[in-house]
Amino acid sequence: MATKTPNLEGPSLAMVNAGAGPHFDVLEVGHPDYVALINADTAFWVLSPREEALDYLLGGELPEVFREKEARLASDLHNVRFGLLPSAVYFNPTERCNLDCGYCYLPREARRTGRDMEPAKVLEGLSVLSEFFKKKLPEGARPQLVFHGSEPLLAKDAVFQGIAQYGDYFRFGVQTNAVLLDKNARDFLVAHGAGIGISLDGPTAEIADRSRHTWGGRGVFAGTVKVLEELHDYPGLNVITTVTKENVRHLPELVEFFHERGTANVLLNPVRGTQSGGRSLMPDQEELAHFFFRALDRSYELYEQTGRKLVVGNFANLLLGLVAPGARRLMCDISPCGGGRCFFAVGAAGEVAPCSEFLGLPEFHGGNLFETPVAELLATPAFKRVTTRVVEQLDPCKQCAVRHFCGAPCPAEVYAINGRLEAPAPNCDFYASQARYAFRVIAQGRLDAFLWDGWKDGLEEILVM
Amino acid sequence: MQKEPSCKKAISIRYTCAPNGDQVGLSHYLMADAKKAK
Repeated sequence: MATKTPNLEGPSLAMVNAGAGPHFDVLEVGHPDYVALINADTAFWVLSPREEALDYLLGGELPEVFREKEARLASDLHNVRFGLLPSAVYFNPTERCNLDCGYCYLPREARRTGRDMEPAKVLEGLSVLSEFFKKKLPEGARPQLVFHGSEPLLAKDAVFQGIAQYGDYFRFGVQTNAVLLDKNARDFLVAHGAGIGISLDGPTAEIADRSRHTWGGRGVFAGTVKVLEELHDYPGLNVITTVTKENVRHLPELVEFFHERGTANVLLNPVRGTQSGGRSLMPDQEELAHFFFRALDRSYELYEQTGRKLVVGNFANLLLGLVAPGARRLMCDISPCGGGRCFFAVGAAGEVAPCSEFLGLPEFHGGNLFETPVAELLATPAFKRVTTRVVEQLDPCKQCAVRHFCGAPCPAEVYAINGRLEAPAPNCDFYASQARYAFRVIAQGRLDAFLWDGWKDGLEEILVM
Repeated sequence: MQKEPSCKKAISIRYTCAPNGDQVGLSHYLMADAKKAK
């Protein structure tokens, strides 16, 4: 790169890091040839050859070309942070669960003996929600409604009646532990095009059943794998693994396990510490980073060997955050998070919270779906506390170069752990490491291998450099 | 000191979304074909 020395007596915006000039941080990403230069406010970055990084920073070209596109970059990021409408709901038709997973974000007593919503009440709830979305969303938009839990198939009649009656409007999904997902249930959901999410935490019964078992302690690994194999080519299938200290060392094997069975999408979600059970199972961050990245490495090797991808959705989402912030699909690693603004959660008594993670924290409930208009619920102070939490107000996030690739998640676990929302992510080190790993993936030219096919569809490139 | 010219090129990739053309998901559930709304 040819260095163009700026005029030191000229306007400050022609130089970085002083006056009106753009601010660029330098980030070590662990690549032998590249470092990242990041304008954190717009989530804009350049991977610079190491030996040229100072030339980029001290020369005049970078601030000049950045200034030309800055407004568009800022607008793109602003839109995904503040410009989206609510378009998805978690709906819990029962508080009860037939499993006793140690890390659940719902309180244990409620899961054991809690309330069910009657089928008529579920239909009333769907009616209220559909009226809200029809007023709020553009014509033709179809919001997501995911029956979640606890275990939604314990209220199967209500769930299926809802899907049958509102299947033309909502895009339905059911997140289930698969224990009650018999052939009839599978056939019904597939026939109605409903998404099916199942949970599996390990590649063997010995590992998976440590965290997911019945109240009597019996594991459910075999049944879950049977469903996974039967549905592997169903496009609406997704799999969630909750990463805990019990399974973190086995993530690379787990990736092999899923790939072998034809799974195309998986979330490897680090457990949230929102409830005490989850907190006690949070893995050490360094260990989490090590095995999570080895699992990603393994998914790349398998793609190279077979031509078939296993997309790790939560990492793919972070990559999208780097290359197309507005195209990210998940709303946890951005601030404000999606809770209460892109989606919200309805509990079995009709209580409405910004996200399922907040259902067990009553101080964040906005009110009741059957008593207060949804628009008012979303504007309550309880919701505003979550929807106005931004990294610019947090220490040390406000000075972090990757603050818009992380988002300081999750506010529910941050609150549960710290007693306040104004604190960084409990897994702060892990998220910073993950951003470095993502930059290495890009520097290695492997971006497409980690993203969903067709990820560029509908996107427009902003050429800055 | 004279520096050797690098054979590596700088990398910068950034795309923006068309309105309503992108997707939203939930971390407790990933739906393949859901849409964001603006």
